[in-house]
Amino acid sequence: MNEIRCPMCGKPNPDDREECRYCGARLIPLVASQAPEEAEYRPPPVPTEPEPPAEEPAAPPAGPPPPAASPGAPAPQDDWLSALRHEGDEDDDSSFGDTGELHMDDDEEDAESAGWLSRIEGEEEEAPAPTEDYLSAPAQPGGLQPDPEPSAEEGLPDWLESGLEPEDTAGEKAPDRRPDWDAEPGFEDVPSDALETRDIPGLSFREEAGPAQPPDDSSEGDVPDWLKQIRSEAPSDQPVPGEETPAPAAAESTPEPAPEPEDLPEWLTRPGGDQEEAGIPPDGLETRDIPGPSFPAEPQAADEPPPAEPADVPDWLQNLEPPRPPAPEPPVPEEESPGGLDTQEIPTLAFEADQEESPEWLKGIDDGTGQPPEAPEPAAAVPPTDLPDWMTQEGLPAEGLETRDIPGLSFREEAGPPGEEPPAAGDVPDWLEQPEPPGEGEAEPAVPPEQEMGAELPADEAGAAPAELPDWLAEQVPTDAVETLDIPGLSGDEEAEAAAPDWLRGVDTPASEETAALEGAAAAAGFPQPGSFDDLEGETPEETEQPWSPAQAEPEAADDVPSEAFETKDLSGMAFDEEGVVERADTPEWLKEVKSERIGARPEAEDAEEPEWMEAGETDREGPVSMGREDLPAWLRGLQEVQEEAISDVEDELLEDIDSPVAETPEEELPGWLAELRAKTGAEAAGVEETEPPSPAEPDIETQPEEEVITPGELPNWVSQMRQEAGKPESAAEEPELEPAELPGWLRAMRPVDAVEPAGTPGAGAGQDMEGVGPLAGLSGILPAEPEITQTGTPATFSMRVGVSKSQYDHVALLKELIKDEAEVEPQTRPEPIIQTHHILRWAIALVLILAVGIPALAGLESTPGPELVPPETLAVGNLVGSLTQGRTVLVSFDYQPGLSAEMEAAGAAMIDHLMLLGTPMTLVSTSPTGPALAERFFASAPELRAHGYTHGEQYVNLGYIPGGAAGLLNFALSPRRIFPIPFNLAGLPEGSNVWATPPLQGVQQLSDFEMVVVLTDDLNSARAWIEQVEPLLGQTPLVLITSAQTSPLLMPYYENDTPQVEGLISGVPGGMTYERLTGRSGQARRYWDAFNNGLMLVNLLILVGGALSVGLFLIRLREPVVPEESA
Amino acid sequence: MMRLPILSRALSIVSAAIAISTGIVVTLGFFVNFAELANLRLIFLEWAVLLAAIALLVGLVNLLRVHLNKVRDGGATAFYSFVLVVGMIATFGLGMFFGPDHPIPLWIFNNIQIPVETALMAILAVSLAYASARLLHRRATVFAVVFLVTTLFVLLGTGSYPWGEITLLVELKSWISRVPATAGARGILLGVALGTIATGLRVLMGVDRPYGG
Repeated sequence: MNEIRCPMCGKPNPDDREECRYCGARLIPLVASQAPEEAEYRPPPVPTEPEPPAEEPAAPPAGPPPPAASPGAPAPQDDWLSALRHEGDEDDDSSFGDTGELHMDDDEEDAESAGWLSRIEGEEEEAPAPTEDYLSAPAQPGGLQPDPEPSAEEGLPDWLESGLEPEDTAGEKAPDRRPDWDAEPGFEDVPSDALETRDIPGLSFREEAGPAQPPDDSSEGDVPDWLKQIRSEAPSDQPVPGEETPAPAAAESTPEPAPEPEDLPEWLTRPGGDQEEAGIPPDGLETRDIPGPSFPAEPQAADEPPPAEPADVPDWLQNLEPPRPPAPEPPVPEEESPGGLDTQEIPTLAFEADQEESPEWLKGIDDGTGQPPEAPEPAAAVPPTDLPDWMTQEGLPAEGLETRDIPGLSFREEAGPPGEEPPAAGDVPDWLEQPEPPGEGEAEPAVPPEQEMGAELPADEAGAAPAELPDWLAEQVPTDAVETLDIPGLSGDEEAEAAAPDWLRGVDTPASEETAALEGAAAAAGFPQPGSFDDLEGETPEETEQPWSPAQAEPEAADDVPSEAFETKDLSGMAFDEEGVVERADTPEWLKEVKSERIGARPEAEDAEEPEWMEAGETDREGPVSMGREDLPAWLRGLQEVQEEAISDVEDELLEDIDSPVAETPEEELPGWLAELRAKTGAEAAGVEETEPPSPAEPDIETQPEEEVITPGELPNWVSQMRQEAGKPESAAEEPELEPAELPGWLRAMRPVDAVEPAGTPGAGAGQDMEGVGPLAGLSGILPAEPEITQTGTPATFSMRVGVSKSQYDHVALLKELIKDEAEVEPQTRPEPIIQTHHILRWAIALVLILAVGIPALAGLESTPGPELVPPETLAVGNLVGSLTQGRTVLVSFDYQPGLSAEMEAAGAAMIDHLMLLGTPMTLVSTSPTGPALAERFFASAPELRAHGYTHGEQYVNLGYIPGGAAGLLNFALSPRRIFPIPFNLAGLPEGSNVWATPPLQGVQQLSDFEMVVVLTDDLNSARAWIEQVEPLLGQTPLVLITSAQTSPLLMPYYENDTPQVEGLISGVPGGMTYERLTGRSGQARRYWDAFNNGLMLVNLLILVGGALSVGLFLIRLREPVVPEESA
Repeated sequence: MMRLPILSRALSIVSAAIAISTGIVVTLGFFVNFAELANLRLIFLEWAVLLAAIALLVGLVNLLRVHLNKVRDGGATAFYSFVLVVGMIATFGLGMFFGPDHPIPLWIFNNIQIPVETALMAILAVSLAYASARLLHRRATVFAVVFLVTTLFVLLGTGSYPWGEITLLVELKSWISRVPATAGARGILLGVALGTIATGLRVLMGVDRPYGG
């Protein structure tokens, strides 16, 4: 029964289990299916090892591998792989977007990681892995496919064709080489590399490279013999380095299954062991130092027969010898062995880049075994003789191979400009042509992501250049291109951003635990992981100031930093470092030349940052680099140049920006081989990680001191030096590592915050509106917690003075003067005359009236006739007097004022005269104090009355004054005797006489006893009192009023009633005159009548004249024009 | 000090009670034919006449005091006040001494008081004539014109002319005296009557206390 190694804890589990029985981690990755439309973006399917005949259908002997996106492609893989794939499809179908692009979700990453891990497992089960894939398999699972037979396209081996086959052809072949789960369309996209590849603009580059490098079967003949041998042997013997997954325990038991020295070339076997033991993937450096372009030099070299090289150098490598250095450098000493050099030159960033850029075969070379260290079997399966010495060294970690799987840079460099002549098949060394047959049953290292990515190259792109590139290269095309070309794209280009690998785009997206677990598992298995290069970050050239050390690497810091950053940085640095690394002492000379050439192209600044060990290494690289460049095909050289330029620029920036790569790179995003290395290192150091699944957030490798992982004695000098140097800046780097300002430029460019609010803008100022305390400390643009109301203060005082100019003052003074003149009252210039007009008129009127009245009165003129018309009330009085009973006393009340005595006497004299004529006794009373005197005067003054000889006590009795007004009058009316016990004219009566006993009062007990009541009054109230108080008590006694002319109109109502209260009324002089006319006697009225009439006429005349004048003046005013008062 | 307000309040209450009771008795005496009540009413009326006479004397005394003050204070009107005081004292004295029907007081009355008052009435006539002549000059309004026209027609209708009366004017004057003047007078009389009733009721109800308190 097959076993699946837990990606988390590394313990074996039955392959039928989905979760680890120890740690519970998911063994079968969740893979995501891909939409059909994404087929063109998929990398070609991973050219897996030859299918086991029993389980899988036989793969086509030749031809490009089927595209990963080929739907419905039969899955020749194992059932368990198919099951896994199905699971992945089911789980991850939804992870694809509408556009068909894969989203770099955590699940997807997990699926990807699990995919290649599972694939490794499958390969592990499929023991007969192509021998020639032992180099590439660890780094690029799809790169070196076991292809015992030459591909249908004769120019390329199968493993090479698998990665570069056109889509159509790949679609046919891929299923044969891929397990079921990998052959299905959904799963093809799952691997992280595939995801990355899909989004990377490098795909276009692949397209360019494709047509420029059509498959050339004839190139088969260019493969060196040794390489061919390797290929021929590898499928059976060489295990796939990445297939060590199913045997983690084995990997642990045989931690460093270095290939046998005799199976490896000398140059490969020399110093690799140190690196492997140190946990530092030497291949990283090698790969880094071996830029992609250096590898594609093979096509060029294909034209030329590989020069005869020493036995430890393959022919094809000799062909790559740079022409510039005349003599190849001597082999690097043992301490500067490739491994040592690799270790020295494993700056983290560069190392990752190496993974991506380095070709598979280089990765295998770096590894020395072509497999991860955890997979000793594959390494052992590799024919030692087929490998260069430097590759056969023990201790080369599998990560080294994996490191070279890092996509991108190398591939870009390899891709070369379009139009370049594709490398002939014959240029490919034999060992490269060999398939990578993971030995069945051997611990086959997990297929690194790069391998899968390479396998999932889009069909079209893959088909574009299937023949030019070997499988390992073709499979790396997408990955490499992606990651490499993403670097400039990160600067903000949308296109590049869209093409950026998912792991790079997901910088801000923390990887899921599952992904981290898988990657950790892969790292534990020695497979390259996207983030595994963290382990080497401290060793990157740019980090010579802050070299990484396990003690310095903080887990949380590592989580904080996206692995993409380092990957990108590595990519940039890798392009250069690869060269240097490859050309280490262990590397062949051609690699050294490449390195040397690369060094020459590096900027000075970068050189300054490199540690000494790197500088020393670079010196060794010169030869191989130059050689490699020359040997590179034109298309690859051009590509390399372009890439180098871009990378060099980015590298400088990244090297400056990255402070703590270890802390910033999450483990889950590290390449698998780095993750594995980290996990492995941590496990070895702590010894506890075996039982506990490594947490992606806490990479054990970082927590463990480096000394525990790498034996000091095994460390080369350059590593020790690096550590010494790394110890200094690390402490300093820990403090500012979280400072935003220290973020790499490419990362800042990716930050949307910077895009929206670039640093330096006023709004983004550090000290502007930035919270200083609390959980929001450091954030700007937040609302202040303290209300502004608390910020009280005294209000500002303002001056109340108004600014007045001089002209305004002058205007004010002028206005004051004008007002002052108006306010002053002008004195009257003309004094008021003493005698005024109205005085004259008044006197004139008085004079006229006096004359008019006085003259007739004084003259006794009776020229004016009396009124002819007798008023009825006057007539009624005459009738009443005429009807009086003879001898009955008439009560006469004199209630008028002395001022009107003349009028009253004139008005009443005729009637009194009439009474006296009749001999009627009269009782005189008065409600006015002057009334009794007036009564006496009345009788005494009028000559006609005096003529009657009425005397007091005899014919009349003057009772005097009735005090009390109405009340007194009422009392008089009720009991006349009680009111007037004593008469007024006491002197006229005898002493002791009773007034009531006098003839006029005899028989009178009450008022009704009077024959008639005559009231001479000029006052309304007095008349009303008589009418209201006395009249009701009079009974049949008539009440007659003799009133003045002004009062008579008010008393007329009492007369004009139906039951008149006043039976007769004589009004004024006219009434008296009328009554005289009735009696035919001339009396007082007549004497006044002329005067009265004159007075009336004059008054009438005055009123008319006065009215006429007034109207005339009024009319004159109307005619006169209106003159304004101002002018007056 | 507190006794004065209380006493004043008590006097006020007593005064109000006397006034109200007296008024009720007098009023009932008009509506109720009851002998005792009528006698009581007469007694009250006699008291009222006496009080009115005393009030006249009190008024004379008050008039004398005012004018004496004016004479004492001096001024332009002091002389007139002095004449008034002298005339009042003399008349009062002569009347008290000689009696009211004595020729000396009557002479004073007939020769001084009546001519003076009559002269005042004559001045009134001149003033009215002058005012009528200048009425339109001072206030040329419709009411002034109406007043003048009415006065003119009444005066023309009142008198007689050497050629006799103008019947139209006499009739017009009679119509004015009987209709408009009577209508106005009745309104005045009704108003006065209503006012008198209201005043009486107010006094009876104690709301209006002319006697103070």
